[in-house]
Amino acid sequence: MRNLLSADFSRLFKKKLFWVMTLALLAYSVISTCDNALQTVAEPEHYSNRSPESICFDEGPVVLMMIPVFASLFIGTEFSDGTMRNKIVVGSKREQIYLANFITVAAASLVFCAAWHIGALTVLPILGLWRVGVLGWLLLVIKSALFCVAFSAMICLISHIITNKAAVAVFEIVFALAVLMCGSVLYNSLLEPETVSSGVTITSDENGNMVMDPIEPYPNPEYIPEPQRTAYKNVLNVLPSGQAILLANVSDAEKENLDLDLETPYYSYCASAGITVVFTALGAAIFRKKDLK
Amino acid sequence: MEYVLTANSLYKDYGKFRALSGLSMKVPKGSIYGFVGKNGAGKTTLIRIICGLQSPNLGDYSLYGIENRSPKISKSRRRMGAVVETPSIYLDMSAVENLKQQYRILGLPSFQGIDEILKLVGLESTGKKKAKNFSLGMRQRLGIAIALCGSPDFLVLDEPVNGLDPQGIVEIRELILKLNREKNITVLISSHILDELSKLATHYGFIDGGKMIKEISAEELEAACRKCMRIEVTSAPALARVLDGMKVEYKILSDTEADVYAKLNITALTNALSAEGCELVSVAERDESLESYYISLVGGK
Repeated sequence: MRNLLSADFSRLFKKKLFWVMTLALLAYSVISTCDNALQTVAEPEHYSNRSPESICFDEGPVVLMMIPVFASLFIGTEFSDGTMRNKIVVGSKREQIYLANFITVAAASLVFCAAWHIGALTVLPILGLWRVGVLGWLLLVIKSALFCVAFSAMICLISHIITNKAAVAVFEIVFALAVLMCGSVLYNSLLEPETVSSGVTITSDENGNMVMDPIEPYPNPEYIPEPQRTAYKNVLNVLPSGQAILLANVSDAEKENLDLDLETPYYSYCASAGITVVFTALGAAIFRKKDLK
Repeated sequence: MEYVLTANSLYKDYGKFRALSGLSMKVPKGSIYGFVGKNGAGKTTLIRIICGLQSPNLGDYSLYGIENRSPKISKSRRRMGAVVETPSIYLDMSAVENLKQQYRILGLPSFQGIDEILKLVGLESTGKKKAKNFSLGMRQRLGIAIALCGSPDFLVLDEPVNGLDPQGIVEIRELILKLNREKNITVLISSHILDELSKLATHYGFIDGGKMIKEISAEELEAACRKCMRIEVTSAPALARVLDGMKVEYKILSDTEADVYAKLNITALTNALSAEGCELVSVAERDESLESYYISLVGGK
């Protein structure tokens, strides 16, 4: 196992794509954070709701999109160049090969995550310290690191099932988009208010003056009632994409009082750990039986 | 005789297609085993199975006496190297980097020996050139170099000369002979280029339809391949009458040709044919080749 990890990490550090993606993410994070923070300073009346942490954690979905791009090329090369055979032929166990690949991809995703958060620190000199405090920020950083690892486990499984490099790249990117869309749809559904009012009725009194009466609020048909509401919240807190979207909209989620496990994200920690264990065990079991060429 | 690989009644199905149908074989230690069969006969399937890339549906095999179901098979695999179909190399790495990568996978304590392996396969002067810029022959040799990293006793090469130019074929042949003679490495080569294989192999296994038809040593094959004279005349029936009179073994091939399995006096033959009103057109000495032996085994399909 140690040999496989040494080989995989050596290849990771030599991979130009990995460094290019990391630096690109760092640059994007710095630019995006500065832009949002300066906008908040310039137009406080428009962005009164925007907290430093909501700007810091804005890029979660972007990081999640990076993982399938990287994994499909890193693991896909092993299959397309046939180098996976070199490991199996000399007696390396398939479970160990799978685990070493997963650990390497997860490590790469953590480096992407670190680049994101380091870039986002530029918010501090502009908007000051996070509203949730340093400990609160740290808890959210851990949450983001764990959902990156969980998403790596999901992507790693696909990378070992589909062995065609081009097909796996397309499938993984489509999969990442699909889970992000799913998270986004769930999140927007939860933001729907329970009731809506559509304005006022205008009448005239006996003196001929106009009288405006607000229309009684009526139930919003888009509102998600219980028990679906709890189910949606749970799915959002379990899915890595859901967690990323919640973090990216941390201020709105607080404002709407969605009770989405933002301040004490231990439920999300457990969910990410669970996803990681289940998908890795499943992937290793499938890969163990898989016929390779 | 000590065997490196023993396969017993291996079956492998891909959906409804049966690629191996009870294949059994034995590869003697120190041999160059030529694994002969046409495309789709099951050569690569067997190689994938013994390399651990696939599992048989039925049957078993053992490497150095250790069965494939034993947990110790990993240790046996440490003693083998393989190039299956295409060379397994990182195209974005140089030859040295590729070998270092394999050294890491094997957990070797240092990179000592890399220069020696590169020299052995003739890639010592490739420097920082990436494998993607190598010729097909160079890639094939790099694939073999990677297979040699763990100092294997058993080398499995699947169609190693496929697509190579004549110079490349000669280089790979010489490399295989060198490895076998100097390092005593047992080599299993699958190929359908029989002429090339006949210059290397000490043992042969003929496979067709997923079954082993015949296993034979090169000496036995040589004895089985009989020399003959291919005679062309104007009338084969007249030739048959003359040969019957001479009491020699022969085989009529067409209206004008026959193979004769005996040494004939050409003057006596010409005179006898002349008496029958037939003319001798040509005489050529022929060896039955590996190719014709193979064709006779698989029934000319």
